[in-house]
Amino acid sequence: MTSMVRKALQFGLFLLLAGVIWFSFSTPAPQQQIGQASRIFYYHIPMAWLTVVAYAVSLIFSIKFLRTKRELDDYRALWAAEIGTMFCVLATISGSLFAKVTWGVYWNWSEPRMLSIFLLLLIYGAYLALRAAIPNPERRGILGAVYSIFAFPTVPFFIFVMPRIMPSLHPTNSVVNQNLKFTMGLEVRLIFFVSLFCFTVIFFWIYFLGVKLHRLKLEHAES
Amino acid sequence: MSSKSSGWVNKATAVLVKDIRTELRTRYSLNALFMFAFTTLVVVSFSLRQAALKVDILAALYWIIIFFASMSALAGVFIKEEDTKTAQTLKLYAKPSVIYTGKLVYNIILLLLLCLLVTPLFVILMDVSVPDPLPFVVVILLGAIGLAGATTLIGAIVAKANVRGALFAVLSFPILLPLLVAAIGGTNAVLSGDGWIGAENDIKLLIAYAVIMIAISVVLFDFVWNG
Amino acid sequence: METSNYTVLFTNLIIWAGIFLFLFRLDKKIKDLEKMK
Repeated sequence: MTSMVRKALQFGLFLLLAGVIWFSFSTPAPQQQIGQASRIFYYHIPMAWLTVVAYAVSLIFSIKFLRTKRELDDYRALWAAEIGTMFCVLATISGSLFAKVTWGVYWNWSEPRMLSIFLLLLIYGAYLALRAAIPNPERRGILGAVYSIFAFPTVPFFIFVMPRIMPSLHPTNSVVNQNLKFTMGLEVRLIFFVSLFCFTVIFFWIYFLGVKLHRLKLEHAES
Repeated sequence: MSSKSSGWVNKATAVLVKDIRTELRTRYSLNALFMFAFTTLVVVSFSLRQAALKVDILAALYWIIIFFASMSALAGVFIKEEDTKTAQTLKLYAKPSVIYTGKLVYNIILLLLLCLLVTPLFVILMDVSVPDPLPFVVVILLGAIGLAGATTLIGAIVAKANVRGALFAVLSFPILLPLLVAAIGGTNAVLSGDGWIGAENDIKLLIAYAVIMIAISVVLFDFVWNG
Repeated sequence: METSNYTVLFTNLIIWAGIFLFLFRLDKKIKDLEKMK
């Protein structure tokens, strides 16, 4: 890809995102009952989505690393996890702010989605803490990969199984369910999916930049 | 008698017996486990003596006690090996999955003993009425097995790291969350008098959890042990 | 559109422009490094 095309694409991405930002604020709020705060839906959900995507990428390379034992694969797993952690923190904060504005509380354990994002935050945090505690690089990669894989089954447990199990004494703030299933008008759907697209591309851009940089470091060290 | 499978079981049992013997000599883990649980129980019971506790709170308290007691002692199984430098010898002795099985059963026994001791005390001190003992026992049993299943591998991971105790809890908690939710939910249902029907979902989840976690542990343990 | 919407909107645009500029330059630097090899 020539650098002209590359620059054009990057600029195009920025324009797209600028468009998303513009229209996310200028068009009517996506969810009328909640009002202006519902606009966060255009940003919060892509971020939550990306923390899962990042975990998936990290997981794939964790598995790969266990087989190849190449440092670059371990780095790929780590880097994806670091970006994922960032998105996870952002998603948790934005979700919490949304909760405050909509339901008056910053946090509510009975809301399965809050529990899920919190769980992801814990897993990411534990993963990074584990890695920090191991001096030997190869062991670090192996144990990190093992933990990453081991922690993974709990994620679908939470996303799919928990909502059925959660004590129904405290009703899930049903507005959130409505949020995801609400009849998205064409306009809303467009802005949302473009936003999702933009953030996904940004994630992979940052990801590949980091990997390339690391590879260059490795090659430089060898020479 | 020299068939592969009986050798497998024998070796795993040997690992288990060795751990039990070692433990009985020093009783370090046992003491830590029981003292922690007992102290927490007494503190809770005393502090809340005036409170009329609802069933859901009691269920939560029970598993909080078990959880924290486990965090204080369950990693011991592998840390012991590292500290006494017997890990190398053990590696030569048998396949990783065999070692894992021995350690897992050891942890399960440890945890079951803990529950055996704590549960009657809990019922007495907290004045819990148990409508139907059988589902209550089953939920606790499954919860204990799941707990051991999830934490044995993590114990192995932590044994090779630096800041063990805190790290063990940090790593265990996210993975144990589904177990805790199901165990507390199940205990809650059972103590509320809903019996088998009320606890059905939770029991299914507990079984699934234990099976999945142990199965994955067996596969992953090789990497941790022989990394 | 309310004033507060405009404020958040433009704050967002500025922040993201900054992020993109950073990424853009980083990308270029890495591309150059790769070519140098």
